[in-house]
Amino acid sequence: MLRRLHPLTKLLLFILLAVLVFFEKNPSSLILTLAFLVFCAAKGEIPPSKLIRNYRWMIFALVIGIIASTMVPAARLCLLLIMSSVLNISTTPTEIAYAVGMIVPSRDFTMMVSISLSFIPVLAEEASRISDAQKARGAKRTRAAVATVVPLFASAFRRASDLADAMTVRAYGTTARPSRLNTPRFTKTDLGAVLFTLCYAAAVIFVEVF
Amino acid sequence: MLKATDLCFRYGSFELKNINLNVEKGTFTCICGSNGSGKSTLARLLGGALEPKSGSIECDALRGLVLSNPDNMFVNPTVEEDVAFGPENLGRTSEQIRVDVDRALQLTGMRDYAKQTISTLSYGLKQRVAIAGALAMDAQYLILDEVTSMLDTRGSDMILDLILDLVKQGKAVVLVTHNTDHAVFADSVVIMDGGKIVAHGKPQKILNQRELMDRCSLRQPYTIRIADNLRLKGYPISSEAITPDQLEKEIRRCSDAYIR
Repeated sequence: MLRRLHPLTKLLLFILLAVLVFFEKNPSSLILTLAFLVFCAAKGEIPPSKLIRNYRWMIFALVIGIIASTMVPAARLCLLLIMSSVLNISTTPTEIAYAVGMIVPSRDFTMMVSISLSFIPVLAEEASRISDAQKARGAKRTRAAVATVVPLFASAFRRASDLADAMTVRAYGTTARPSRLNTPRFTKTDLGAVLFTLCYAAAVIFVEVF
Repeated sequence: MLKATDLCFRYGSFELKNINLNVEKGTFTCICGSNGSGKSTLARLLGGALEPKSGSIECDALRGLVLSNPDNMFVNPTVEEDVAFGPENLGRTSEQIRVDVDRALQLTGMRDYAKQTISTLSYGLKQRVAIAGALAMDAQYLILDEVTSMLDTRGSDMILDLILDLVKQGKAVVLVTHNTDHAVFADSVVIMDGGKIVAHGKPQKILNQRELMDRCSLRQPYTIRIADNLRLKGYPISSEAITPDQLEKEIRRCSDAYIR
């Protein structure tokens, strides 16, 4: 069900939840938020293993929290990481870019966001390949890191140039109002999700105030 | 017709000089040359990605350009979303885009992969998606720049079969390559060296010129080398036989004549 929601609904609700988490001081409201996220993940058919894919950062945040005796900020950070996992897994980069495009009505900006998101894994793979090549030629770990950056940038610029050519020949920018193959539509499910989230927000505020 | 007249282009110390080329619909043209001969620059000029410094390119229909690394061409994550990118930019209605995308996927044999994420496909299939992207715009002229260079032999053969199919359906295909084995299937071959066209004509006429091929750092196709060796051994193989099928027929003809 979560995957069928309009991307703008998901993005706006994500922003609302993120803001709300920063006002949560009471452990009860933090547990309530965790329960809400687990419910969302279940509705989005997201396996628990994927929900805690950023577990290294969570452990890091919790250890810092224990050392500094400030568990609430550490718990907030963990909830934000889980929240971002839920959004990223249930929404494709194109959908996120589409939602951003509805907030910021500039197609170039939307395209920039969409391409940046889709090129992250490509560049990560390229960085790993370059790093392996440097190590194979005997570069030390710290030097290999430095020596990776220059070829990575060169490769990124080459890719950017190719992509720009490919977009030019595919008529990018020729019309002010490009159409879409699939246009997401708001449905009753979106209304239900908004109402349910508002009920949760009211419950959190109630716990925090009283 | 796609017509390039006195085309010149310059970047850094490299210069493309006075290129004249005509490409008719329903034909397969192969542009061959060694590294740095200017064939990719010519492909980008013909495809409309670069503007010539002087000269002109006239074209009576839409053109599509496909580059060697398909990963650098994709804008959207799934096959059908990416193929739809061109028609979307042309402002077509969503119903028309659906028809265009289905037709392009059908032509390239990618219909079963429509909903698949591109990053999970092999390079051969990715190249098909890139070609489908151009076809969805209803491009009548396809400029393919080294599209087989990153593929294994099977993937490369798949793309070649696709090219020959598209030509049969009336599309004009310009394949830029340094693999002369593909050029034997073309209707015309262009040899480039140092930013100039040094030879242009029927593949039988061009590819049989060993001296020209050596001068341009190109290897003769395997079929022509086999035919040359057989001729040296006294078999009267025709120099018109350049494709594997034609060569097979010639060898059968010679062996039948020998038996008789």
